[in-house]
Amino acid sequence: MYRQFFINTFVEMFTYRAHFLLWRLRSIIAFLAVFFMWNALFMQREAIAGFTKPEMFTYVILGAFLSMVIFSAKSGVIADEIKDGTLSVYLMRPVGYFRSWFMRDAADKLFNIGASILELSVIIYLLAPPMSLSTDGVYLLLTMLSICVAIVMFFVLQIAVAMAAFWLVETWPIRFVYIVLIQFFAGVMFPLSIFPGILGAILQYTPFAYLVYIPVMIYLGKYDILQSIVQIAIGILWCIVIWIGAHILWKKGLRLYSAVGR
Amino acid sequence: MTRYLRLCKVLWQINIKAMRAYRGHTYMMFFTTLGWSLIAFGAMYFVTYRVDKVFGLSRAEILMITSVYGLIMGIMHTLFTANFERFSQLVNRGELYGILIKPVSAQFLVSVLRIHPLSLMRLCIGIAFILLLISQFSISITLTNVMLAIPLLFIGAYMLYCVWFICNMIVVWFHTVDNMMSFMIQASNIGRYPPEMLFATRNVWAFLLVPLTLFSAVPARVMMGTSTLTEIVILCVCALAFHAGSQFLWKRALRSYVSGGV
Repeated sequence: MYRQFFINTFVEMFTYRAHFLLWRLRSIIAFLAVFFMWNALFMQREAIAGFTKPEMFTYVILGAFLSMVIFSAKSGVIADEIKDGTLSVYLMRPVGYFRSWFMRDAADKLFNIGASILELSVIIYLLAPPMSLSTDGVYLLLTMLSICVAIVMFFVLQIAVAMAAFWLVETWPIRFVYIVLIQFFAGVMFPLSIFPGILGAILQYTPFAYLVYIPVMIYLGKYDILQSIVQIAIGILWCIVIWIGAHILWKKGLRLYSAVGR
Repeated sequence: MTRYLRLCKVLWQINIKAMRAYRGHTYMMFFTTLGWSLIAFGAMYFVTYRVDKVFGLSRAEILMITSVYGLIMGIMHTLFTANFERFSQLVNRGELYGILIKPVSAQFLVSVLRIHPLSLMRLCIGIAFILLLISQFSISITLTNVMLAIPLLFIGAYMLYCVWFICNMIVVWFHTVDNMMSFMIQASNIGRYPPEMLFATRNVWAFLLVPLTLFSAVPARVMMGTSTLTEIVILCVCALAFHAGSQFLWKRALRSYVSGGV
């Protein structure tokens, strides 16, 4: 049954092609701005904040790929469904609300994985940046694991933020703050280690860091195997904590829910 | 002209009243605008934290460009963003028809009907950042330079308006595209960086983005007294070219508009 949610989302994405293309173009421009900035900063120096030029370009490219895949999600509209009462329709159906959203997100991500690989391959071919590619099987496996954690982390964060709709009339300010935090503290634009002193150290342990920064650092071999496993374990722990929090809010929110507008 | 100024005055009064009526929304907007401005400036501050010079441009000059970018985006968000966000809805639902039959310039009404006075806060924050830079980096700025930079700031903003307008016209042919504004804001982000960053890539694709860096870089340099006459002329020529392009495309788009839905 949940497969149908996956298929429907996939079909929907093919329907609104112009919208999707523009979204992709937006991601490419965002990536190019960051890429050109680092290219400029590395013109006259060998290393910045412990990153060599190939390492930084690998960070930027893999970071862009992960942000395109992990942050592409349909579940951003959960808050709207709670607010306008559409949630009632789902509550009456014999389907798990969050499971169905997870399948929609999965379809969205699959679509974006294909598009991102294609776009970044073309960009790498055209710009030919120096890269530091890892071939170590263990690190690749750990990177894949950390990416899975990142996907789950983003999903539970989306749900937790959406729960605000049970209590607030307008949820966009919370979503806005959440998006800003992600953009800045997930390490999409630059590695979090670039922050000075204790600020940099603290930011590496927030849930946002596990979305992009930690997976890329594991891939680059900046952590040894034990450190990588610890980081993944902390990431899983964050997911569990956020999920429990979101679940409590969901239960409390449903008691308040009055399906306004329906 | 006087009629349009009177109309502007009325539009401002209406929008300020709307802002006062929805106070909760206004307070939330205040904090999100403040947060976003701080983050945008902070990102560039931390990226350049370990760098003194890039392509002969000092860190102060790069941060000044970012601050001027904030100023111009303040103007754009105050006057145009809300209107362009609504443009796809106007076209898709056939509501543009109602604007076309009014006895004022349709382009004017489409562009400034919805004003967002609170975004003027970005202007204030931008000015505060400039003052901070002047004191922190001991930049000597003369009154003449400031007086020269102000008209160029408006020319830069007008150029950006024309680019946004041109891109929005695509919606007339592709009704379902509703993320054009999100795309344009992302594309305009290039204005945070100096044009040298793009020239350094020696890549033809990067050169295409150069006009989008001029709107903030030229006024910033004029203010610091480091600009050349050529740069100023190029900004003015680009603004004129985009103005002509926007006029041409607007007329073409209106011919294709079918007022579907009405």
